[in-house]
Amino acid sequence: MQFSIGRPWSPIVSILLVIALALGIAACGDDDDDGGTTAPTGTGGEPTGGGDIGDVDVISLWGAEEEDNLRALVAPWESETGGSLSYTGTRDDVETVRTRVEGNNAPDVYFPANLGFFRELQAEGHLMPLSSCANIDMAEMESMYGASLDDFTVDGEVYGFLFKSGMKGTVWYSPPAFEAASYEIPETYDELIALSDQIVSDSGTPWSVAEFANGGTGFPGSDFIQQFLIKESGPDVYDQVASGEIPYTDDRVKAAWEKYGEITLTDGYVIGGATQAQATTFSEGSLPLFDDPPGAYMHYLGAFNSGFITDTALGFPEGLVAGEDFDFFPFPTITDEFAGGVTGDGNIAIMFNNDETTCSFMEHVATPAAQEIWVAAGGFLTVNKEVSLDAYPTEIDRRIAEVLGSSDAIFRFDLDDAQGSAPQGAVFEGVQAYLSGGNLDDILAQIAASYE
Amino acid sequence: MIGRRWWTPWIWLSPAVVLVSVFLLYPVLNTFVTSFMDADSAGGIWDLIDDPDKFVGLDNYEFIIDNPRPLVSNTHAALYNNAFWLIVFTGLTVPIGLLFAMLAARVRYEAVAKSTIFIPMAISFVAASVIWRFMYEFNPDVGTINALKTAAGSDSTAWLLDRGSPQTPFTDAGPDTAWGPLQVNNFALVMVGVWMWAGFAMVVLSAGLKGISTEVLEAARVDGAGEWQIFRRIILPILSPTIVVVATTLVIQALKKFDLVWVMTGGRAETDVVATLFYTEAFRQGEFGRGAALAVVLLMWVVPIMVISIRRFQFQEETR
Repeated sequence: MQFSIGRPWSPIVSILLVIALALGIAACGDDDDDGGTTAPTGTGGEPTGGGDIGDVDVISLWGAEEEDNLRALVAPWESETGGSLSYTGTRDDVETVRTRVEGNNAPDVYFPANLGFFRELQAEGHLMPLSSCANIDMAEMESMYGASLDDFTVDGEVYGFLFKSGMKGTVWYSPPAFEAASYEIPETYDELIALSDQIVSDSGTPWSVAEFANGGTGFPGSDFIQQFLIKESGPDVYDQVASGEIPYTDDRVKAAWEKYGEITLTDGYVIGGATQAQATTFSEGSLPLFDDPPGAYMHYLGAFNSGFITDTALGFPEGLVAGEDFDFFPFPTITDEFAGGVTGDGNIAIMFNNDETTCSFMEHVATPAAQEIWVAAGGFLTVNKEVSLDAYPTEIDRRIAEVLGSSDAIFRFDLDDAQGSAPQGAVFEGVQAYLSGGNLDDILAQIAASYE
Repeated sequence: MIGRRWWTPWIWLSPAVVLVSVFLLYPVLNTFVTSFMDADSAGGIWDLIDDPDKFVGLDNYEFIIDNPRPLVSNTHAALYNNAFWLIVFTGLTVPIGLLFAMLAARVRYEAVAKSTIFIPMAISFVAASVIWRFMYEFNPDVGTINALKTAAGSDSTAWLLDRGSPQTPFTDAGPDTAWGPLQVNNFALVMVGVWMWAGFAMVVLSAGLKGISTEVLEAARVDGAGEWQIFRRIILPILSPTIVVVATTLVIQALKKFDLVWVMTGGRAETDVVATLFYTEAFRQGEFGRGAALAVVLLMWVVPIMVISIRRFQFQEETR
């Protein structure tokens, strides 16, 4: 025997080691099963666990500053209940959650930004309704979140609420540039086109378009098109397009795309033409507005654009003041009846189980007191009517929040987010194909085909 | 007398066998089964036992061949692009690596030169992809390449989106949409791959070059061979096993390319490769059956190459 150490190791010991290893692997799997989901079979309201508040396992796509703000929002809950937040922030949140759900290792709470994915999770029976938590008062939820809960209600049960919302009915401009050229804010689509023509005849460029976002390239165009759709054809048509009842080849959908084409493909309307429009990163789309003389006068992007404009690292001039140096005007009206139409995105709060920790966490993040922490930090809009408008740090945020909370607002969740991921990918790619000179009918037929 | 019992080797092998079975064999078999199942089949074999209706036969493979949803699941583009990667990436990296290895051997600052070329290998591929995303950025204030282009008086090129043929960015002529995978953006991506892997090819080939005894080379020179003849008739034949090893590694790299494409374009503008498409299909769109079928196609591409290289390896062992 070469190895003297090898001797005391009998075959039996090594067999035992192998068995121990196998058991170890199996045990890991078991742990995950227990710690993950309480399988939502039946709506049993009885909380599991020993009654103590423990770790809450949360997934969302927020990182960096947004993650800090979330932690600040949760901190009072942690100190009050002794629970703690175990947070995963990932841009690949859909993939992560899908994998974990399939592996019976779902998180406790998830903030999806994708209505289609929420519907999928709900339909597959992974989610618990809010009413299964004894501590959540549904009447109070109704008074705080109002009609926005409709999107998350299935068979009378509410499965989530809009935690953080965005608004996408905003056209950005520079008030000093408009003043210098004495341009008026357009209120209707016809006025918008008339203004664009006037800017061209004054040898200016009316629009800056910026579609590049790596894997999400084309999403600003998709947002643009859905604004046209809801403002022209109203929320019912919008909902039916989202659900697939009205196919993408419908004339009303085509009309919305053609309006987008009228702005992006008309000669002289867009700075740098369709190539630059596709290749410019979405966060830098407003840059030409602040050139002297202005490279472009208007830029369409959701409310989150105010965060980019104040970010000097992106190349924006220092000291731009919201409401003075840059501002937005609400998306112009096309059909009077649907003037209040506004689309937005948001992060839905949903839960995969109803143990005491999860319920207590959900109750906390729904409260105005908690949300005002992030509202004050900036970059957080909410449809929660109890959150004071005074809490918003800037004039622009306050005005956007006002539009979202106004009584005649017809709020609809982002169309491509509501569709599910295959049609969403097709729409993004379709925007790019349209800008590259593709035939619109072919593109719409291909998007319709992606619904299967 | 432990060694005499027939099952003794199996005891020592068993940890490896268990690990390989659990983490390799089972997933491969499971993926294979899933590729014949419908979209909602993440459970693979176990789902099929629960519900035999999930079996869909060859539907997923038909989807790959028919390519009915080219806007969002362009299977043809993914397959062509993988072939493009295989040929262009391998075809450029090996000669460039060899060139660097030959040149570096002739200078006094060899170590410095080789380290410089090798640095990209040391950076995480995701980080390198992010760096190149900035290099290719359309805005000339950010993108280095477009800054050079605009300084020279031409227009910016959308390197990662441009589906035109490769001469379009330079001559502003040529067809707007290139044939198959021969698009500007695919070349732009492959160049990053070459930049990353040239260092690897160089280091391995350089070690091979060092192994060639100087006596052989001197003998050739005495016999009057020119430098080109020495390279062609002596260095290349002696180096060929090393070149094959390098090429095999690169081919496998090309086939399973994911990180670079995912970070730089997300597979958009017809830059998808099979690996990015099956990830999108399975995990973003929830089409687990289709994703598995694509994974199986990828495996079928890789297996013959692995078999060839293992055979070669065994042959070398025997002849040693």
